[in-house]
Amino acid sequence: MNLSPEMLTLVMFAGLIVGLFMGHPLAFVLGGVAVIGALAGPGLNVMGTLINNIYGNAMDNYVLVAIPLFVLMARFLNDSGVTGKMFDAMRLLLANLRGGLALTVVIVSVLLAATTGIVGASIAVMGMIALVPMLKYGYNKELSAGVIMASGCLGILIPPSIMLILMASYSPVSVGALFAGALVPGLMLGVMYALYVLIICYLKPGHGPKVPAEERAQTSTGELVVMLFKYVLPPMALILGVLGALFTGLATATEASAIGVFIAFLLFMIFGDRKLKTCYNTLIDASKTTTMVMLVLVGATAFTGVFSRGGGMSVISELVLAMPGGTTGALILMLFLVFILGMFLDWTGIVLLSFPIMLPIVEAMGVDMLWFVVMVAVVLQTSFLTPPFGYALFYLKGVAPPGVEIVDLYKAVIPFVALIVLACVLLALFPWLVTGLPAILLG
Amino acid sequence: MNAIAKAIDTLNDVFGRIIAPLIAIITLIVLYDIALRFFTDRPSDWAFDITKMLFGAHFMLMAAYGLRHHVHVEVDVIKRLLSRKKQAAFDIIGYLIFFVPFMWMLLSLGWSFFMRSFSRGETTYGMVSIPVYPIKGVIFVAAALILLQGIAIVIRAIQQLREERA
Repeated sequence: MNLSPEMLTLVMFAGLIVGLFMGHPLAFVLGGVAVIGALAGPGLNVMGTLINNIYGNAMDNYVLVAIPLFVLMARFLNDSGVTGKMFDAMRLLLANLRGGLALTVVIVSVLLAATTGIVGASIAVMGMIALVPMLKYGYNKELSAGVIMASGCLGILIPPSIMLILMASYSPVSVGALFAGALVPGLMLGVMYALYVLIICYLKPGHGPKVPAEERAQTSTGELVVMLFKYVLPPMALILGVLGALFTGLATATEASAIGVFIAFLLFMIFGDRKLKTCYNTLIDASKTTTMVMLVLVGATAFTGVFSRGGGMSVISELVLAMPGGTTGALILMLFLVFILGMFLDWTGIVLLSFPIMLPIVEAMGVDMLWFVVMVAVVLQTSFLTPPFGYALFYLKGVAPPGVEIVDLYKAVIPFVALIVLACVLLALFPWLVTGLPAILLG
Repeated sequence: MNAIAKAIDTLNDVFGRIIAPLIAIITLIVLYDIALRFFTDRPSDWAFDITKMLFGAHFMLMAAYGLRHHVHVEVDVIKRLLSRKKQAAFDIIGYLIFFVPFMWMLLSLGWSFFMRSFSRGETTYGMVSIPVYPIKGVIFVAAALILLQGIAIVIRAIQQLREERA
């Protein structure tokens, strides 16, 4: 058989969709479709290069070493238990504010985002420590769940983030530039969530009542200041250590991640339970997350390798360029595709499938690569939130108390997805929000 | 049949638990490299290559352990709605259509990839020449372990089908 590039495109994407909805692991669907595609299209001899690609792109890649290390850093920080105490301190600080608890969730999540970068961990932790108190104090169910999920997702956008590392390794943009470029949009989203919470709680006081005065009175202001110093400063030191080393050019992303592991390990030894068993389980957990991400990369490398050798890339690029509206139309179409893919796939699959196809188109159109990659990163925030397959929904459902149904969670994400779309429009209208900081930091 | 599936589970459990701590060793090597550069102004001759090799070995060899513990991403929106019997049938079909060809590709090409490197005695180009073939052989070993785990999963799915019928 020797399918035309158009037919091959159709066959490979149909295979991908069928395999995914059968519930087969994504990595194997990608790899299997690659072999089937090679048989049907360009022939089995293209597969010789696939192993070279897998070895070169995935295994022999120094930048990607930062992925397991940042994951490990996040796990150690999580085990240190600083998060829960940080939450308590911030909650008391914002006690007199309507929606204070929800605001606390946003602030703590942004701090966590800058330290961990693992969405699952942030949402599970915040779900466990914040959701029950919020419901207990009479917070609106959907607002509570929505703010936890949306803020938790910031972990993958605010540097350091394993998604940005993967994106950098698949694009001509450096990790440092991408981290700097995503910082402002990430913080901007955090501010937008905070404003949304404050405005809605001001308009509808029943959505987010204050912490009762008696409870606030149990902790003196002096004690509160001590708590803030003790539990908010250490994570800040971690952030400054990692991002500082990276942005000042002292360390590469991989080195910065190792420094991060070291600091997080110290925090674990100071605040955590210091048990060897906890340590070992942390290594196992971090290894599981790493192999999950990396195996998709292995499958996707095979898939895109066959796809491009069979001429599929040019089919897609002709389709995109034939869109009415020129460059703007093509950009909107590509970002919209990322949004739609986000309903079904997780970020790993989307980045690995879309970047080899889209980035050459973006380059040919003369659009700023850094800006486009950050735009994709922001749009991918929705991939965690949009049903039917939104990770954040499952993570939160996993730890939510009875009475919070998956349907509640579907409704909860709607305003936040709207805010992300609004953020994308802002970033498109004012591209310097993305490109400004990298220009200042990295020249 | 069940004994085979159990043996495979145990094998991959033990192997995964041995491989997982590599991640800590990788961290230590990177830290050593930073410290060396900081204190002596001269980076290590071998750390860069060894870090990459251990990283490649780590995630590839953990993949079978990951499959054993269901960490690999899958879309189960439809699968969840089906009966257990249909789920098992979908699993078997999925493994036959996608998993088997992929593993066959990794095994056959991974082997020749390893042999090419081994017969030439390929080494790294850095200050210290480190043999490359062990890390290239990892692809074959990892694929073999993943294939075994896949067999265990299919055995269980077949049993599920039988039980539902009985």
